[in-house]
Amino acid sequence: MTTCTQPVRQNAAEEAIPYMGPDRLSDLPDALRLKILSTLDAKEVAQTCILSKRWRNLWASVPCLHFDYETFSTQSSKESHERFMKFVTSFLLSIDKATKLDVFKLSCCLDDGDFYSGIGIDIFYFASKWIRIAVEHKIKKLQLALSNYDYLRVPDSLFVCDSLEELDLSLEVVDRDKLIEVRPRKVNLPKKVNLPKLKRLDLSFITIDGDYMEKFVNGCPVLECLYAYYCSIATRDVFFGNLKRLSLTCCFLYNLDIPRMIPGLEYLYLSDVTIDCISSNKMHKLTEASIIYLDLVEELKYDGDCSLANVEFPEFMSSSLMDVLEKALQKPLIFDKLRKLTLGNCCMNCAFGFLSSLLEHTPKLETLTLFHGTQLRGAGECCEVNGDHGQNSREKIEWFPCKCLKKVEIICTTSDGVPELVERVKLSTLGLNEVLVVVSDLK
Amino acid sequence: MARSSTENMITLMSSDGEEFMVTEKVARECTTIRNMLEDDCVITNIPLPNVTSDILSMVIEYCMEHVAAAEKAAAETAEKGSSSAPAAAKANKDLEEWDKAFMNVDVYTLCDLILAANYLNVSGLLDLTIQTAANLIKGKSPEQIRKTFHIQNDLSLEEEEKIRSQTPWAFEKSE
Repeated sequence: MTTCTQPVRQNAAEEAIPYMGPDRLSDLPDALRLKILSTLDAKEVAQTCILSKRWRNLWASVPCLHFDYETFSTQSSKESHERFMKFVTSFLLSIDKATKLDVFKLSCCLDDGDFYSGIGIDIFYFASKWIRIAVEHKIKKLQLALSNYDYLRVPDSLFVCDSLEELDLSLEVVDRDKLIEVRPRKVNLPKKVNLPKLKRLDLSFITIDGDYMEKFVNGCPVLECLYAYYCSIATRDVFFGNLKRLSLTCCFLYNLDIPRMIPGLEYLYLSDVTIDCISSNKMHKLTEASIIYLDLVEELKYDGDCSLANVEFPEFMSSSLMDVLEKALQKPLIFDKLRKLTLGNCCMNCAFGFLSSLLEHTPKLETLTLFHGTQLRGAGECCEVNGDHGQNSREKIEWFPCKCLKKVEIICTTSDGVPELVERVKLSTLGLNEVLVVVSDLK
Repeated sequence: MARSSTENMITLMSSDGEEFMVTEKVARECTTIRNMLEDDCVITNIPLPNVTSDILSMVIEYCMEHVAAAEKAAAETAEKGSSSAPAAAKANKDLEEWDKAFMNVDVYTLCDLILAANYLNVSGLLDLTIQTAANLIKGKSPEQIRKTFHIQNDLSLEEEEKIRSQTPWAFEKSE
């Protein structure tokens, strides 16, 4: 056995006591020792069984398990795969029958070669069994960070797990440059979805069709948070009754009319999102919204009463956010509780008129953040060329009727037009209590 | 601030009889004490028979630092509408640094702090101490862990061999 004589941390007390002092760590109640073990990787947890008699069986009751393939990597990938599979399987089969799992996290980044050789497919076959064991142990939070979902069959039992509160299906992309090549994948559709406690769902690189979404919405009555990254989401006409937080990054939404279908939303974050419909419904509960890049495309079919102005934008994310909103909305959106608003992707000088009209219905607004610039996302020329549209907007009253407004932050990528914008903001807030205007340069 | 000048003072008494006067706000950082105050708001003297004076003074130091940091952030928000992101990030980092320095203690004190944080229910301090203990275990062999925490190995060689043979998968070396 090799022992290292150099402790990672040296303390005066450790140095001063040459004999074995009192063993305070083992004296801690089991619940606290389990808390400590819960923060460690499963490999380290397992090894504590030979520390002493008082540690012998404790590891089998740890409620939070983190398995990371990284910690098993060796020169030979075949060997690491085998060890990893054996370790996770043996660990899960040895945990105490009565243990309820709070967290089960599985990180497994395999490269394409592992799948060609078939080893990756084996691991994912086992992963399905591991998830089933976690479900039997009344799992509360399941976190999968896999490099590929093609070969994973999520067991049906997960979708009817009555203890599950959080589900995170993330895709770990090893090479960030390859991100663009990754296409959202379809996951197998479970026969039944019944997750009575699921509060939070994190998805990435997943395609969800209307059937799937309908099952999910109906099967998750208390779902409050939905976070999606690089997803394509299609919905039928369903209502997300309890959804309070929605965060979408690089997503395509088909028929998901946020104001109409999620009226109870409190927090909204949209960045690089393409939608095909948005209606002018009131959002009475929204307190914080960030809309960074939004695009509207003509897509699918619409019934007459969807208040959508069909506009085509040939280039992805090429249009100004304000244009998108202004063209899409026949009536202004009403946000009567909105306290914090962030808007991006526009040349604010051109869109100022519309901004004022947007703010007519946000009486509680306290903080407004504006991304200003023409260079954002290669947005092409300044939207001044929009002609009629911009002209009309400018004739509207330029005044922010937001009595609670305290701060306007302008984040700019160009210095063009910034002094004018600041001046306009100051004019628009005249008569309100002092509003702080901050300019930050993003360059 | 008008509130702090009129704020109630609470006396906390350690197991060895030492008294500590703290503001109610600081005392309320301990959920256990907050619950006592909510049940009986006239209480001003709280005996804590499970915490020694040296550990209690450390818990109070932690609570005071975190209350002060929260007050500073709140004052900035009130002054400027909302605290700017870089300033808030710096304040967070400063507090993290403070926590890190605060955790420079021997393993006995660390274990006592875990117990006290758990008993007084100071969630931030409990997380911090638990994480610090975990970091002392991380990356160490069982022998090194025993040495760090003075764990007496009371398993006989045969017993240890038996455990190893029952769970061979836990001890396979990567190399």
